Amino acid sequence: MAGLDRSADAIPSIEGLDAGTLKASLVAYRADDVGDTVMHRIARGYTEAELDLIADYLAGGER
Amino acid sequence: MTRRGLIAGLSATGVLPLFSEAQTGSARIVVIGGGFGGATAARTMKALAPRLSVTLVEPRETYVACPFSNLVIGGMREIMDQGFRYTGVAATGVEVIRARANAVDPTTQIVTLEGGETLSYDRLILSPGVDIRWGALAGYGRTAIRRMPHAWKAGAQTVLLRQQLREMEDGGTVVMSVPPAPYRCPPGPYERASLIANYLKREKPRSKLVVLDAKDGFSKKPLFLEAWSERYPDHLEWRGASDDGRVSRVDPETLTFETDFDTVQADVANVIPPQKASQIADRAGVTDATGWCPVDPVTFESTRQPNIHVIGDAAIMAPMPKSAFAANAQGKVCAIQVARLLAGQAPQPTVLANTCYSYVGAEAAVSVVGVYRLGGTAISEVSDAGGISPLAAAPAIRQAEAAQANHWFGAITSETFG
Repeated sequence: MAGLDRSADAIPSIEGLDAGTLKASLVAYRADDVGDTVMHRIARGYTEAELDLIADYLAGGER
Repeated sequence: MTRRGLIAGLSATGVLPLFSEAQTGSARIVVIGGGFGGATAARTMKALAPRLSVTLVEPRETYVACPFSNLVIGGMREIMDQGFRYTGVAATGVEVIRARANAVDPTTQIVTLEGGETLSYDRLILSPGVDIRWGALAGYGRTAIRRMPHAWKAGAQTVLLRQQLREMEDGGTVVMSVPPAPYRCPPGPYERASLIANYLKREKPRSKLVVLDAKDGFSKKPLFLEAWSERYPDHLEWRGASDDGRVSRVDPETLTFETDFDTVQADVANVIPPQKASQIADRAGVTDATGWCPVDPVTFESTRQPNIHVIGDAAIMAPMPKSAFAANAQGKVCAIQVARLLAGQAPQPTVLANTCYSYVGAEAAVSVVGVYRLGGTAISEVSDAGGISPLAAAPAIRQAEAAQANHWFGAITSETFG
């Protein structure tokens, strides 16, 4: 059903994660050549410098 | 604006008030259209520069979201779950005016509402969505939508199509026609086909869906074809353009679809008609001969009228698709660029992503991702990023993407509407 929500499958919250953790995750998605999740497919579109900026923004933008 | 409203605005959009009144002045921003693009742009504008006057013009009290509306047609979701009110947007300090915008004068920079009231603007953000291109499909006029619902704007049409499917006797034929690109939600027809076939297989197993398509290629085609052959071999037949799928005329009286060489009889008919930018865009003078709105790829300012920005489905953003995800992202970027322009700062190129999930069954979904660089004179897709879900994947992958789709819907609607 559309109400399906398996916590293991769904999108994890990134709220409260620090910039270092976010950077490491984003760079890992980008570096993984065989990964085919949505996050892998998105992360490949950004440079490492851009991923750094995104991580900083997400860590600091929402408190 | 109340402090509570400001905090609500910040927590919802994650945007900090980066611009002071000294930078932006007390400019008046008017946003026309309260969908995923316009509501997002209005909220982001207010969050970035709380002292700006931001007015959102939207005729509906309750917005009915198109994403997930195919689940309503497929009998897996209720239409009430698609409705979003503007109380959350108003709580952020945006003035929400419930009215239709009848005219825009780009010279005097005045919007006239249906009741005759006027709003003057320094910058106008148009996010009006699509209208049906009446006359583009022979036989499909304004009265045809009762007998042959399009259900391409969610609401009463969605409910009507679902009701017609429910009332159809087992053994009936459902026919859907799909227009040439561009149109709102490129993979939408194929998600809908999947969910109608799923409904027929479950509830009316002697019935069948025939899809008559003006194209041969479409979004996520390999994934849809795989899902259809696995799940609906007896319930879904797709005919592309090279297989005489292009519909040239419909008849609402007889429920027939004419192709070059065939006439297809339906018991339930769903016409997804050719579309264009909503009429207010014509009246503002921002559409071109294609019926859509050309814009600068960095600021989304119209190339035809100054101080009018166009975002969402109405704008020419290709290769970005006409999707809620894209409109939401464009809404945020548009607000940032407008604030920068007001503050005398140069607009900045951006990199945007889009993800479209499509259900192919009750607990199964597939996705397509694109990443786009918006700069200089064009929007370009990053070639070594994006792409579709893996083919021949384990059921758990499809289930996981269905769960992600569900989370995505919750996140984007709460970010847009509060």
